[in-house]
Amino acid sequence: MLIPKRVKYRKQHRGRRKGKAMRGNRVTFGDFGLQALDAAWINNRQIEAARIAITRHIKRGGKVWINIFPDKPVTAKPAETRMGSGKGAPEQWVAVVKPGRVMFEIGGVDEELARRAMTLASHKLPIRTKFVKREEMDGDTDES
Amino acid sequence: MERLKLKASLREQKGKGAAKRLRRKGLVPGVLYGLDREPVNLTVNAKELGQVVGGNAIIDLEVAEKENQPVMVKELQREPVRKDILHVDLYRIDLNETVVVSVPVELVGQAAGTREGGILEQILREVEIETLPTNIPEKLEADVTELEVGKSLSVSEITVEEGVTILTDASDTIATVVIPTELDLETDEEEEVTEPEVIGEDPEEEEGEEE
Repeated sequence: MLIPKRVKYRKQHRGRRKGKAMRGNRVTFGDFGLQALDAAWINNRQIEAARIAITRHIKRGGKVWINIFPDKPVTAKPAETRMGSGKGAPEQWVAVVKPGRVMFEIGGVDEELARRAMTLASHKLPIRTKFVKREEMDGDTDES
Repeated sequence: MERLKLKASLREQKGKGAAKRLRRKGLVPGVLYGLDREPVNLTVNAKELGQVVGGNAIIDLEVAEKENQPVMVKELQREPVRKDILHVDLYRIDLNETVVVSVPVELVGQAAGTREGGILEQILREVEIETLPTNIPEKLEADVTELEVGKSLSVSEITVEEGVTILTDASDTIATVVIPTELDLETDEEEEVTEPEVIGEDPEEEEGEEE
């Protein structure tokens, strides 16, 4: 499961998820990608489940890139606890994803296989997604 | 290289409010600069622009129904999800002077290593070249037929036409044939870390704080 090795602080503020992904919104490593259409916190279990779905489907051959990393701790208070007494304990690790972010990439496989693998991966994620192809030289993108 | 045509009109208003109003009307704000002349703010039709962008095409730009001048698209801003064009930078070019542009690299042939089970991975997709605007190749071809597992192809091995200089570092790798990683579904989780180390905090001290 993805988790940071070292952190400076154990707990973080929640922050806001305004706007769109102004960076990381292109397919840069592979040939095909899975792009987020909504903003969400994607936790490390979801990332891992999606990764397994992709690697199982493409079997041998092909290469998978994960472009998001869960570096944000999310805390929670135990059940049936009265409010107050400070912030809860770190419960899980999430990646902040905004619309447009290319979360996973695949290279070295044909489009049909990549599309099916990404569809399986998208079922493991809590947001709407889109299958995208690499853009060629600022030209029109061919997407679906 | 093909020559395309594009019409543009001068733009007076600046700022995001004006730009948004233009985009709603199907226009794209842009700027024209280069050749040590004053930059000019423009608007172009989004549909017409969409047809001429892509590749390193030379565009004959007609500004306010006057003079045709050769320009190239220097930069294009797109909306992250819908990929609509938000802004365009057009660069004036002199057809007799060299320009620096990026050209896609296409891998040709089937790598020898892929027959042995390797995966051909393209690392560099574009290289920077310097040449006359009329001499820009659409793409550069890199022959990978003799590439074996573990071997890589570098920029120096690309052959280009006369008059074209590659500016990208000659030792940069274009493609390599790698051995596919085995299905590492469960093996990845050998050391399950539950909590990361906190910088500048003593692990024992941390326990006490948690109460």
